[in-house]
Amino acid sequence: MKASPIQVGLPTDVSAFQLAGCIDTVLAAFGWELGEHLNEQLVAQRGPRWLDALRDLRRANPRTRDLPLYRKRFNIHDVSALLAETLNNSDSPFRDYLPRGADFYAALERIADFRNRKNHYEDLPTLARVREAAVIVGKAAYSIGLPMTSQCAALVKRVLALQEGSYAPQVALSIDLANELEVMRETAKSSAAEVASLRAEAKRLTLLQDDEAQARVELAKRLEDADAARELAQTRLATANHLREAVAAEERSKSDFIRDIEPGSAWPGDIPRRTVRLLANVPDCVDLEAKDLLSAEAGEAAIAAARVWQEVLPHGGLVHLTRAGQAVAPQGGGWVYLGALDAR
Amino acid sequence: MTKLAIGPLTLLVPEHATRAVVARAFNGTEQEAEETPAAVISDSGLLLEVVYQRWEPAEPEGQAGQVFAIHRGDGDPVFDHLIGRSRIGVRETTHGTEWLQAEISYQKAPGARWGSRTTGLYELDELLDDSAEALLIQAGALDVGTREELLNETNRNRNQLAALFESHEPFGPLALYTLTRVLPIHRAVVDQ
Repeated sequence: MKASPIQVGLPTDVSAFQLAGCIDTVLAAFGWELGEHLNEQLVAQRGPRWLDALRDLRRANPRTRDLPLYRKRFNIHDVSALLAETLNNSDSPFRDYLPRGADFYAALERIADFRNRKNHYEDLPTLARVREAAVIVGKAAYSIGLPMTSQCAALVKRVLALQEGSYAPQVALSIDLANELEVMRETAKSSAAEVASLRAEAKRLTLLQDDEAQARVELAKRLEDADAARELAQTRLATANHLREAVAAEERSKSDFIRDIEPGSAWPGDIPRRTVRLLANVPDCVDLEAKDLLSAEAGEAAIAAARVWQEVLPHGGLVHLTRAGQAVAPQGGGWVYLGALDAR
Repeated sequence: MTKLAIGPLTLLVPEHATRAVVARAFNGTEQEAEETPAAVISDSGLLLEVVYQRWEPAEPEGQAGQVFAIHRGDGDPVFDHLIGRSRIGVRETTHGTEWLQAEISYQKAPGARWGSRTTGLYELDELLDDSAEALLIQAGALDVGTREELLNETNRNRNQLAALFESHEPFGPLALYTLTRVLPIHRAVVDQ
């Protein structure tokens, strides 16, 4: 079964905007995967017209014939429709392809109830509500074997991290820009693959020494275009990287900076949660979670700062960074301030 | 470019980190060179530091630089086999570009020291589980092929695999080193 195209959102803060979005994506992804799971089984067992047959059955029953659910098009990805059909009809064909037992059906009822309360604004979107959604949906998804189970688990983990205050973004970078960079890297990769494939084709034609002059001219043109596309992809990636540096610098400048403290002195603040690895011989740090260099985010400032930090930590090691770019490292049983990425 | 995924490895090359050093060429002579350091990391905890050194004129014997590993950090001790030993020479062509020979890390027998031997694109594709040529082009290679194809050599080395790069562009040579020297060891030891 294909996983849902709806990705469960992981909140990066506790704004209602983000939390409501998380809850919605949990329910939407569950509906999508549950519908796909049932449709796959029902098509295999009862043929492609199973939904029409179900609708006819319900329309013939006085108890259900006037329900809006069966009077309009039945959306097999709608979590509300799927739960209503399953829970309200003991003869529902859906039940044949779902786990048995009272616990599972109680879980489905909780999801239906949760969805109704959410849609009628009975509860505010809070971290507790997000966690509840992830837990009840995650349990049901696990029982059925839906791929989204792991996304629910990740959401519970993120909620806990936000509740404990231990969540720190990988890099001070907007999600849109990070995604855009990833897309650009993929584009650069595929354009290089296109160039490689055309070069191989050109070599093959040369080896064959066929009298295919027209084919060679066309191939040369395609190769030229592919090379240009590859160069353009690289240029765009470089531009986006520079933009990333500017965005990160601005975010650092807006964050709390502890002043009047000299490098080498004891750190007076809380220990920053973000860690990077100072390299021993390369004047830079690696963010192992983001799999990137600190200089990719902070430019030359990271190189200059790493050179200074290496004087204190000549073999490299873990460095904790505040959002403002101030670096702290454990030393001699305490925490020592190493310096900052930006002078203030 | 500063970052490239090479199978399970990620090559990270900082901009603005090039420095002047005194390099030691293959025959032991000292050369004033420019050195670009880089890091190769993986999810398994590898944090290998490698360098690209480049000097002019191309001496001795046409050698204009080299790529090699300098520090393995907390990575598996097997990567010590690369430190200061497994070097790829950088050589100039007659038309202002530079080329490096692609030799793959290999071990004659389990427990033996890792050395290097000639390879082909088919073997690198298998190692990478993707197109090695596309990867090198992405890293800036102008061409990848045999020394006969790239350099019109007709000697007994003509069938050896090589890659052609713009001069003084460290990223491609560092990617070639990561692909041919680091990845085989990682596949053999860490991926098992």
